[in-house]
Amino acid sequence: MISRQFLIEFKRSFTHKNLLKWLGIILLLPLISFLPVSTGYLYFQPVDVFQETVGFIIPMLFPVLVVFIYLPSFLQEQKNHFITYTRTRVPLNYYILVKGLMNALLTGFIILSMMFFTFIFVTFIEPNFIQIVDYSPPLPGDHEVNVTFSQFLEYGTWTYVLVYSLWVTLNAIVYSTISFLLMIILKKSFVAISVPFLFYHVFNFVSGVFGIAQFSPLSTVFPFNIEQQELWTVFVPLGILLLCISILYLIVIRNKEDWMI
Amino acid sequence: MSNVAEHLKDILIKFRWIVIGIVIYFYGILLKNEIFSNASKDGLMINSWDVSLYLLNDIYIIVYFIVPIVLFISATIVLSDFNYMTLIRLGTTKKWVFRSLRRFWSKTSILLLILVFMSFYLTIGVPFSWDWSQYSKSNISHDTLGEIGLVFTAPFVAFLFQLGLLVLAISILHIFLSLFYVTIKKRNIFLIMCAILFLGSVVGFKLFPEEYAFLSPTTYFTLKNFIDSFNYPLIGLVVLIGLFIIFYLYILLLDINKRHYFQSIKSYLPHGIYLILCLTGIVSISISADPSKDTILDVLVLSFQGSNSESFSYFSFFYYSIVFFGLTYLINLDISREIEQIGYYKIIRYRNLEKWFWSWFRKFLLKVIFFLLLLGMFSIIIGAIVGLKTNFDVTVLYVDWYTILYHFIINGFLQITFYILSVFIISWGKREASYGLILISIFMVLMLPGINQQGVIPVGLNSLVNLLEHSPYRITLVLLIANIMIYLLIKYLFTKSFKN
Repeated sequence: MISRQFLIEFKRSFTHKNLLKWLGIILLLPLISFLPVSTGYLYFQPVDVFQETVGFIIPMLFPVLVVFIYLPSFLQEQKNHFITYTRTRVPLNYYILVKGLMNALLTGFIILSMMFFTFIFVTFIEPNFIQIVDYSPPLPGDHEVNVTFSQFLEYGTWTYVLVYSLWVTLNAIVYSTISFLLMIILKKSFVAISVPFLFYHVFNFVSGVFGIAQFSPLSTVFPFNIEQQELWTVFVPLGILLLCISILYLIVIRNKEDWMI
Repeated sequence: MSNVAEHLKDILIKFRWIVIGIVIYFYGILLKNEIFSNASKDGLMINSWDVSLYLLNDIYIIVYFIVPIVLFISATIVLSDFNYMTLIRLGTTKKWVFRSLRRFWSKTSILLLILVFMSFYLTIGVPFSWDWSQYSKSNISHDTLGEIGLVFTAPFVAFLFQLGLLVLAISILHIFLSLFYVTIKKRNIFLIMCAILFLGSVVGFKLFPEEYAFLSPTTYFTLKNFIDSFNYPLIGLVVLIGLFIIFYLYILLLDINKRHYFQSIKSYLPHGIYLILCLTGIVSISISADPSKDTILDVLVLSFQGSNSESFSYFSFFYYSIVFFGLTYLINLDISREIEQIGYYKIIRYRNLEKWFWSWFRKFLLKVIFFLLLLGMFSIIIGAIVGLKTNFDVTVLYVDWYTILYHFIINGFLQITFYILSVFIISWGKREASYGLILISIFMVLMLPGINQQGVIPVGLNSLVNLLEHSPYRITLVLLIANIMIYLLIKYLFTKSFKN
């Protein structure tokens, strides 16, 4: 039953509007982000361009981006009291579960595709067809990219990009799932949708005030604004978020009568 | 039959105390022998106070023996005594907490008596004196009593203080546990809390470094640790009494219907958090300012410098976002209520979209002005409190003070008005306030370095750092044009929605 429902949800989420939105995120956003950083910086290899592109506009949009990939459709269903009428067809908890999984899956897939497209664009498309970026010849001596996660560069660029993209994807899934769970229990959907946004920006500021920028959400998801940190530091904010998810999950499954449907 | 059982129980209880006494006695013998051997090695005289104070201050017997028993007594009393019958009889939870404390002490006092009795019993055969012995005065290597001999004039006083400290600490422990149970009313979590307290006291005296010793419960059980941990023992006492007062205040609040207060606080919560965040930023900036050079207006400038395409720092960017986009977000919350929940009823009442719009928009404008004045005042007052120079010079920018104030207030007002109007357009057009968030994020992107180079995009123009490149009047002009254009757009949208 769940797999059938999953298939139905999958088909239903591919509306023209959603497809356009997702294609915009995957294809257009990296390009918009690429343009301002394409000149005026010193680049040695495509992975530098990749880091600069990912680290420029996307970090500011990230908490809103992940929430708006799939959740608006759920919001519309809530507002128009659609979910109540699906109960004749499918048990409510199945429906919600499938929605949650679908949200995680689509958010993850689109963010991952965006990251990969950025990389493919700066590595293959741009040098061969567009050629705006001016690569400097490698400096004498050992040139290293010193940001967190570039520890993986020694296993190859693809490994680095894969690991880093998966890391961003994981965060995207966590942020949007928090929003989803909150939407089920909170009366004000605006608050539920804005919680990841608030968490992200408020803690960027708070960690700056207390001088622990290595634990700020920005510097752990997009670690291009500070120098290289130990890898464990990135798991501190993620750990907090995972804890929040577990607590929210418990609250959600315990208050089935109060679901906002 | 029941009499026999009662009798048996009595014997068993007494038997339990005897066992405890015996354990303390044998442990005390070990300690006594240790003191004897140490003293004879150095050829020092000891007296009875060494033995009894040493036993009372021994961290191992406290942590591994006394604390578990106390926790056990406390937990059994709390768990067995908390039921609705008792509560109804007593009337209030406050009375129940005091009753359980009384019952707790009726049992724990026996334990303490045994401990004190044993500490005296062991001194049989040791010379008695009212003064400190040679051994405790010398205070050389063995670290038996630490600095107690230096702090207290007579051993008897130290003994009294030790007893008082133990009583106070154990009482606070029990009050904490009973309040914890009253608050959560979950048996398992309560037991976990007891386990945490026990483990905390075990871990506390081993692992915590000196600076954090005040976090460990063990510090408060023995005079020796207490004096070692605090530079001034008075501070430790203040901590304990402070805890006591906090718990007492909590006891007073126990029986009040909290839901009512909670509801009224809840509606102020977003604004409260927001103001705290704003204050945090100002305070952290004024603390890092240089009192010999910087003035109170510098705090204003440094706090609200924001960022533009030329100069960018993450801290001021985030602080700008928190302050100005935070305000926009809060107003967006109100707009969402206005549009989604009560909008249609009010529109019917006002009969005119524009009248409806101004009916609430006016309030927001006043809020923005009030808020800007508040922030300005805060930054000046905090700057003065921190001890910066109180004159109207600005040292970090080469601009007059009235230009700064003009820019901060007038341009700030226009800028926030622009944010609010644009957020309103999105919310009105989509009938859903959440899309305002996308707009705020786009605004944040537009403030990143290298994007708004000409200063014509009306975003982030009220950053004080803009005064370096543009005249404030030019910025006012840009913002005015932007506001007028967006207002005309709103008017157009209103007329269009009438036609539909």
